[in-house]
Formats: sequence, C-alpha cells, structure tokens
Amino acid sequence: MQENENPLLKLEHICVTFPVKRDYPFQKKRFVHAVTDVSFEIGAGETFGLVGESGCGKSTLANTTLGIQKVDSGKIFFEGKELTAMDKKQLKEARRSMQMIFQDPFSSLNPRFSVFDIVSEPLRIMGGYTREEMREKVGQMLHEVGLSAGDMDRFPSDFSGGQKQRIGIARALILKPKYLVCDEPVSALDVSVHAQILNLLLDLQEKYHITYLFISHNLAVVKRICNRILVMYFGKTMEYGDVDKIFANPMHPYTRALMSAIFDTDIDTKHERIRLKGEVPSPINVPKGCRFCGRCPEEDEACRMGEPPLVEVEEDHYVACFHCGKKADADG
Amino acid sequence: MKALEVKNLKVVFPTEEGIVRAVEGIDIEIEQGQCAAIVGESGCGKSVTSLAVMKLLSTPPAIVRMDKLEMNGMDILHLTDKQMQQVRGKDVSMVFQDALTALNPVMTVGKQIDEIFLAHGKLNFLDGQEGQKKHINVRKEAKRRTIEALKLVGISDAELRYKAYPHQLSGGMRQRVLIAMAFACNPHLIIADEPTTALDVTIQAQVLDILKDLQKKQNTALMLITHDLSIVMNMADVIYVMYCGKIVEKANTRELFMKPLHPYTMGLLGSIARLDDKRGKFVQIPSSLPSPMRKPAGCYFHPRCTYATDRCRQEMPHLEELENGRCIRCWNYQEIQNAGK
Repeated sequence: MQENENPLLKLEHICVTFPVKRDYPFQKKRFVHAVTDVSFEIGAGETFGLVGESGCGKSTLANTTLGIQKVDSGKIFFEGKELTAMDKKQLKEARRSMQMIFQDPFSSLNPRFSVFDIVSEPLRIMGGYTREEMREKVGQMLHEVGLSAGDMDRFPSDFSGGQKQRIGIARALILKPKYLVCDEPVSALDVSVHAQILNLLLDLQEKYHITYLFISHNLAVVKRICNRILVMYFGKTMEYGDVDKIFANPMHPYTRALMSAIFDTDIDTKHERIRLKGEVPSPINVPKGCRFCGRCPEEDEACRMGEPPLVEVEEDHYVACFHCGKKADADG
Repeated sequence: MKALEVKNLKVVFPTEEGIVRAVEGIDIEIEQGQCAAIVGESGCGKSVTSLAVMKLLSTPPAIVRMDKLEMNGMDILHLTDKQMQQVRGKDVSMVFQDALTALNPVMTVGKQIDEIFLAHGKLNFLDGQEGQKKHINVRKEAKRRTIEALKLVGISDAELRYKAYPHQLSGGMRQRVLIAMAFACNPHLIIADEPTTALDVTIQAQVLDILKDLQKKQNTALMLITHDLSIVMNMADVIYVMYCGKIVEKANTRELFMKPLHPYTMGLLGSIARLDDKRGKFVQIPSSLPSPMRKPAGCYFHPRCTYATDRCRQEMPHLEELENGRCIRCWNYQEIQNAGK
C-alpha cells in the first residue's frame, strides 16, 4: 500500500510532553518528552505497526489518535476531519468509530461487571438501544469472538486470559468501529494463546474492514500482520514505511537490534545477535544529537552533535540515521 | 552427583469446588552445571513444581508428596523448616518472575542483598596473607560483596545503586538485582521462574545473557521455567514439556527443536512467530487448557489434539523412554512421525 490519497488517519508533527513534579520549590520546570515530532498516515483497511521498547511513547502516541491524550503541537486528522480541533461533543461522536483493546485483560475488565455489562457498555454510553437489542447484539458479538451467548451472565473471573482478551475484543467491536488500537494485545498472554488471538483479529479485520493500529515490541508478529510500520525510540521516529521493505533492508541500527533480539527457533541457523548496551535513557534530559546515542553500535561524533533528519531512502521507506546513506553505498 | 533429583512429585490442592491435582507425579533430574527448562502454558503446574522443590508451598492448603528430593546428594525431603532456611539462598535459590513484588519496596536493594551474605556468607573471618585469619567488619564485608555481586550482573554505578530503592530502578535492572541475589552465595542450583516475561525483548535478551554467563562461570545448575519455547533454545540443555501436571515430553534441546514428537510440543513450536514467516494466519493449538478440576479422561491433551484416537480418549499413555534419555507420553507418536514424512 502506497501513500494514500485519503488516509483514514493522518498525524502531522505530533509532540507530547508531560510536566514533571518539582523536587523543590522554584525549580525550573521540567518535562518528559514522550513524543517528539512524529508524523504518519494510516490508510483505510491497513494494519499499521508501532514498534518500540516500553517507555518509548508508543502508547501515548496511540492515545493521541483516539483523542484521549491532548497534544502539545501538531495535528491529527481522522477521516479528513481535524481531531485535535474538536470539542467534547464532536469528539464523542467521532469516538464511535474508534476503539481500543488493552494489553492486560486481567485489569482492563471490571471484575464486578458481568460479561454482558462489559460488552454492552459502549452501547449504553452511545445510547439508543433497548435492553433486548443490547442482549441480542452482545450475544452475536460474543459468538463472533469465539465465546458463546450463554457466557453473557458470567463474570470475568470465570474466564482464562485468552478468553478475557476475547471479551475485550467483543467490547471494542460492538459499535462496529472503523479504527481499532491494539495496545500489545497478546504480550500478557501465553505464547500458545498468542496465535489464537492474532488469528481472531485477522479474521475480524477481513470481515469488517477495520483499520488496526497495532502496538507491539515483537517484530516477528508485526512482520506477519502489518502492512506498514513505524519504529519508535525514545519519542522519535527511527524508521518508517512499508513492512516488507524495512524487513528486507533494515537501515536503522535500532531496527536491526530489535530484529536480532527475536529468538529464532531454527536451531541450525546461528544468526549474529546485536546486543544493545544499556536501557532507554531518561526522557527528561533529552541528550543533544541522535537519541539512540549511547546504545548505538555505530555512533560517531556526528551522531552526538546533531539529530539526524528523517530521509526517504527508497519509496515508502524513511530512516532517521546519519549512517544509513553510507550503509546503502557500501552494500550497493 | 546430580544437582537436583526429584522422584514422583505430586501436589494436590483440596478446594471447595473439588480437588485440584496440580502436579501428578513428575521426575526431574538436573546434572551439575546443566540447564533444564520446564515449558508449559500457565496453569500446567510448572510454578507449583518449582515451589514444591524449594519447599515453599504452605501445607496446608497444599498437599505435597514425593519419593525423593535430593540436591547435590543431600536429602532435602526430610529437613525441618529451620534447616531448610539454611539451605535456601545458600545451596539453592530462586529468581522470581515479577521483580517489583519480589523485592522489598521499603528497603534499599543493597541492604536486601547484604542480608544474604549476613545470613549465609560466613563473613566473620577473611583469610589474610600467610593463612592468617583476620577479624573484619561484617557489615562492611557484606557491602563489599554486594557491590561485587551487582557489578557481576552488569549494573553500572554499583555503589550508587546499592542505595537505591526498587522503584528507582528500571525493570531490567530490578531483574538483575534478583539475579545478583540468587547467585550471591554460589548455590548449586538456581530456579528461575519466568525470569523475563515482564521485560521488553531487548532487555530480555540482556537478562538471559547474564543468567547464562553466570551459570557457566559458576557451574551452577539452572532450572528455567517458562511458557515461551523460543527463549529456552539458546539456554537449556534439556527441556521438559509439561501439560496439565504431567510431563508429556522430555528431550535434549536440539532433538526437541529438530524433531518434536508430542503433538503438544509441535503446537507450541508452531505458535511461535518467526521472522522468516510469510504474512497471514498463525498456526494455533485449538481451545485452551482444561480446568484442573475437570481434566478429561484418557490422555489430557486429546480434546485439543488433531491426531486423537479412541485409545487416547480412554487411556492415559505412559511416559515411554526412548534412546538418549528422551521421554514421550503419547500413544501415537510413531504414527504421527510417519505421517509427517
């Protein structure tokens, strides 16, 4: 999928910062730079992958696309309408077509609500349904996600992790949204259940033409289900574009490191693993220069001096690294 | 001498709704310096196994029975609780899954590691030059060793981190503190219960590297408990696959990955997402683990098994021993292998 003429969602230069509590009076105001100057587009029916370690701003970015998180600067367009300029009422109407499923199904379902209460909550919030209509809709939806309508009056504690996640999916889809944010939908589940949930998401997408924003740190999963991806590190875009192009030719050292961190199950191919030093640094004191400095195996003086711009290296493949140009020359 | 030998371990929890047979007679043997992995879905009894081996299950409610529990030739089974306290931390120690709940939040991490040295470290004397024993300050010595242990697991500014509280450290760092704690007294055996599930992929790789390095360096036996087969490939020598409280397959890591025999193992391997996959659907094991109170008759896996026959529905297969210490609990593994070719 190339640059869409009519993207479902379009983000332009999004910046989000959070103020940090002062340690002592009259301390200079400090900010956590959660997201800095990120732009991307998601076409209708696409699965867009957002990849990065925890703390890199993926969830904050996803929240901004739902209008839950205010942005400091930048614009978001949903179906051509500017989300960032809407008032509360318009936002509520717009949210009818956007939903979210969460990482941890154990804490995202209210334990005192029955399954019917949980799944019908969006209907009640939007209003205009009788109880019978709601029960029918909920029953259908539960059937669709692989549960039975008879489960409606049971409580979350009766279900396993995978089933709870299915309830979460039913709740998200009951309003037939166009856009669904999946915030690490499988990372709290067993590996054997991953496949079930991901297959369900793929089936539902086919059936209802839902656009997914899929957040994950597992690149193997992302490669399999996404059309385009954005690799984020520390609030900034590192690499962005078509998934096949990025996997065929990962340009950014961070992308390469993430890819090599996936454990291969083929015992005979010994692949070279890139080990990253250290961890994600504190987002309060953003260092000058490239944000990946300090952990990057290829850093040099230029990286420490200035931030690399996001450049297009091939069609629909953007990289922010000073070294990617050299690398391409050396290869070709 | 084996670092760990467990024979016929059974754990039962009587509950109001019925009896939960969490572990149904499993045997585990780990050689000195070996890494054995126990793999299975949550609820299959793998964590209960590790707690039973550490004698950390409170009885009641749990009922624990086993024929033999030996560590390094030492009988553990008949030790009293008091004696067991001397063993834990010194001869056997544990790395827990969630580092934030495993660490004491109101105590600096340094002090928490100190405790181990103060309890087990025999710090009173230090061998001076020419074999002379020299009195030393116990607390200072504990601190010195703690800082050494923190450096060993790759924590930078160990002196500074010594004074940090758990919440001031990142997830990966906390997990390292737990590993430092586990290795503090050079135990013979370390049990790591899902040591990396709460971590990011890049940090997970770092933590596993450290665990493996230390294990090799100190020649410790490691029992790694996980639900993710992909992380054990580079870590384990032997893999036990557990399902519903029973071992369904045991094999060398290489053999298991090259030629899985049990349909459950095949399913687990198939459900791992790999980088060279084509886009599209994932291979999945249908439905989910049965309730531990209502385990099916016959082979526990038969409702989810695509190869199930009438015999599987009626009779539980035995754990059959093959060459090379490999074990398999399946009636039809030969037919399945042949069908696969």
